[in-house]
Amino acid sequence: MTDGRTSLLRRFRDLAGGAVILVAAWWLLALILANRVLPVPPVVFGRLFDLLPEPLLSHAGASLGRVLRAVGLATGFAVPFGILLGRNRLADSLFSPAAYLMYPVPKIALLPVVFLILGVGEAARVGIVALVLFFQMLFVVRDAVRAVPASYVRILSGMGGKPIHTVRFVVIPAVFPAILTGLRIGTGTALAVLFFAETFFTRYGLGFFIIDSWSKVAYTDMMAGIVSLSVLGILLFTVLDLLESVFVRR
Amino acid sequence: MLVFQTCAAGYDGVPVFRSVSFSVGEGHLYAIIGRSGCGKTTLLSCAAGLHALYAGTVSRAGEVVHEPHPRIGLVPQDPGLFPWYTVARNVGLGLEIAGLSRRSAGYRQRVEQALQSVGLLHCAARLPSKLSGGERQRVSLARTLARNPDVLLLDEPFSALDALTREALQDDLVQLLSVRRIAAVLVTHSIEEAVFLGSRIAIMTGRPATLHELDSEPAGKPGRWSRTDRAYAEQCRRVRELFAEADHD
Repeated sequence: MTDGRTSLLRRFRDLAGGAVILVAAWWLLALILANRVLPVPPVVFGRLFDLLPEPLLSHAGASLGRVLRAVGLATGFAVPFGILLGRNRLADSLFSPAAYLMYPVPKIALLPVVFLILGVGEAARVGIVALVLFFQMLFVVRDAVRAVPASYVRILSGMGGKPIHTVRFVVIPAVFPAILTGLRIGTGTALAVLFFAETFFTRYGLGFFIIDSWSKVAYTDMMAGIVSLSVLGILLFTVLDLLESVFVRR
Repeated sequence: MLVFQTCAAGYDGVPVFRSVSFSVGEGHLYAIIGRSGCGKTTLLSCAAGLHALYAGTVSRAGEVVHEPHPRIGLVPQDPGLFPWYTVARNVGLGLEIAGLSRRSAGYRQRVEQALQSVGLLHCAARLPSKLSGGERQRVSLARTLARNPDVLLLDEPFSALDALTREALQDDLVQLLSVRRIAAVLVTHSIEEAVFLGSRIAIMTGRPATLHELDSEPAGKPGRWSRTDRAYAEQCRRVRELFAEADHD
């Protein structure tokens, strides 16, 4: 069995262990509080299965679709732009200071601006999540490109390699783990932003479902929505881990 | 054959070496000894077509070298294997750059031959991280050999290895130069290595550095010495004295 598979199995085992501890802590807290705002896990899981497949699957599908489109959009822009900043000093000196200033700005604060520019439809919800991921990935990719040893480029040049070969054989393989790291760092924040963005001008998405259940005082439904959103986050993380174990070789 | 004619090169207009002239024929190795920073690597970079000369020419088989040439191979001090590719893919990189398809029989054959010539065919599917230092340096050599070079530029390729591995690789190199009729230039800090491998030996010293050939005898074959011979030890001692004199001047 390869090291990658072994570490992946270990990761699944760790995740299962973590889930058991979390559910136990939740159960204990629910028993201590004895408040219907926080139902015990068996009640929530029972309700979760009642809500499946509909309406929960439609809400989860809407959220997942938005995240995936945002990931595609952010990757499509951040990777080439990050490579450009990492390889070209002029581009780096021109754009990096502005990007650096934008990095700490909480992107969720731009949500009204995004709604006003892109309208109140899907484009705005996907756009705001893509914006969060874009900045997370941009600097990780740029720094990964900068960290490529100069000796690699010299070796390729010595074999007659042109800049396109450097990008193909060195930069992209070197940057791929950084893309996954950027996505992993960004996914948590992206889901938080998505949750918020789904509370406006839509009737689909886990964010809408959770807030809607809360407003209807349907706390068990609300908790089922929160569990679903958590499962979605874990799924995304697991896919990133899978990609890393399959494609990143060291 | 590789010929340097009154070559000078440097950085930002400041010459690192000047008036460098020598030639090396097939099956022979020209060994250059010098201290760190004296311009040895720059000299090899010029021969590899990676660094422009201020003056003079480097020519291979009568053709002036202006840019990297497929028949000129550079083996760096750091093996520089790409950690994300298997050993076989690393070895075949030069062929891919030259436009050979990885699926072609020619590609597979040349990669296998190159790995076989350094005794690492069984490591083809491994990642570089699973190899020892000596094996990585062998793969680096195989990567250069896969391109079928007739000139090898060796930039202290064995300096980071332990003594026994270094000697084993020196022996392999002697075999390769002889079998493949390759002309080689080796830059090294090691007098023992220069004596063992060198058909001729020169030292590089001064600022800007110049080249002083130490031996006026006819060029011998690489590996003509036995390391346990008294004559080899005597030659090393003689070269060390000459090096000290030239370095002092």
